Amino acid sequence: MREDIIDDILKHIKSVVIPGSNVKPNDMLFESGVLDSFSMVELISFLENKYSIRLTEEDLIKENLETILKIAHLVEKKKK
Amino acid sequence: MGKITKSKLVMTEKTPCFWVPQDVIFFLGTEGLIAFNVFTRSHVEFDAVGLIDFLKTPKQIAEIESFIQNQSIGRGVRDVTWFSSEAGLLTDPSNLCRNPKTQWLSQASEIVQLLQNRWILISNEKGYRARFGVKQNIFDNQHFGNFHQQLGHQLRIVKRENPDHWWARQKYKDGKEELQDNLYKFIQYSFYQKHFKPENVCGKKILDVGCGTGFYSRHLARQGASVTGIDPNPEYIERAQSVAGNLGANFQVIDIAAGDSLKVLPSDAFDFIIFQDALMFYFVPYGNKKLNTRKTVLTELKRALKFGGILMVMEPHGIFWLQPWLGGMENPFTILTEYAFKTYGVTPTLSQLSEAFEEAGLKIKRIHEPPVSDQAKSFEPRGYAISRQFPQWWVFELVK
Repeated sequence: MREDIIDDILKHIKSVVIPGSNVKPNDMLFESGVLDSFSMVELISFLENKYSIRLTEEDLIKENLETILKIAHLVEKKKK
Repeated sequence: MGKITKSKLVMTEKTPCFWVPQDVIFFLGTEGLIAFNVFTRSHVEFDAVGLIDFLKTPKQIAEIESFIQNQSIGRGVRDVTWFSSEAGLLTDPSNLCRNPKTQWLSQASEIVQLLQNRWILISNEKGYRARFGVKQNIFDNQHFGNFHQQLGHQLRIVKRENPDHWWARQKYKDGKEELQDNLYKFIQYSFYQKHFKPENVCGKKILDVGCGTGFYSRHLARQGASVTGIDPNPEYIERAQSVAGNLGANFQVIDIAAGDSLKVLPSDAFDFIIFQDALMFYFVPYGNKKLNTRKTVLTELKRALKFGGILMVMEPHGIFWLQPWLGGMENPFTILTEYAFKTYGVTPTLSQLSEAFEEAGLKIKRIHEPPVSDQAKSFEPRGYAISRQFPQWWVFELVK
């Protein structure tokens, strides 16, 4: 499950945010500049639609969104 | 549950104490006494006056919980905070919910949690103070952030709205041809109506900088002026063009903030240049990307201005805009918490503005603080009351 989510996030980033990006699941997304607030919001909407979940204000804090792994973990947790 | 005796309260240095910070004031609410943290703009209503008295000195959490459990304190406390600017940039910015539907909390743990969440109780002065600062991004929950950031968080994260759509909706009615019945109309538009009449502007050339969908450009064109509207948003310009028809206004897409892009404007060409609600973003940006083109923009606008012409800069008031609307309708008051070093506010000070004008070689001819029209009284009584006393915009008439 988590692997699928990671794949989806990588595909989204590589196709919509930064074409050809070689971002890794453990990379720090904000510090490295891979995602800004706007593209993170886009990614969140994409994942909510794809997995039929709703992430709350409490979910959407920096420490849950710092890496692709952490985002995948959050989505997985909400899906359960 | 029985009383917790003193012996059960283990007082060690490791057990944190909680106290009400000096940032909190109390005033009468609809059903109780409201505790208002004036810096975090959060409020809790107390129907538990004994509890307020009890919290006059620092207490350990067990002491507070014990007090609540063992005293008859009334209904307890309830959250009366909401992000009130969600309804618009010129609505009550106090974040106080005046008709709360929230439940009263009477359980000790719930009460203590709410008081902490709303910063009515703190346990770490340094940690609390460190939160006053800009957010690194809208997901940063360790800093309160400034007004722009709090609004961005509310719209993008909580409401999931497009801020551009929200901005247009809070200002214009559905068709975007008419202003909402709010302070934009009763102060800003009222000022334009008073100062831009046919006798002043008929036959004059006017540049409307950041014209949006062209509402004010059309107003000026209807007075007989020849208007050029410029805006970075192609959608807005397209709409402005289609609505203006043969009114005598033309529109151009120009990335104003880039500064150098204004070099396409003719020199010594305009009798009036209108620049409103925009200069503040050159001091505190909406996002985290700084704008370094303030001097270029003002210098280019000066170049485009005729000798004897007026560059009219209208900005949200650097002292009073976003200050909480408090008190009654007859005697409104506000509480000023910051001016020179703003952590919440986003407007430049008077001296910062003056310096920016001087840098560009512009001179201040006159400053206006536009009054609110009496029409506002029936539509927005609280907004009317507060803005009669505390101006919400200031306007600088600048000359070469």
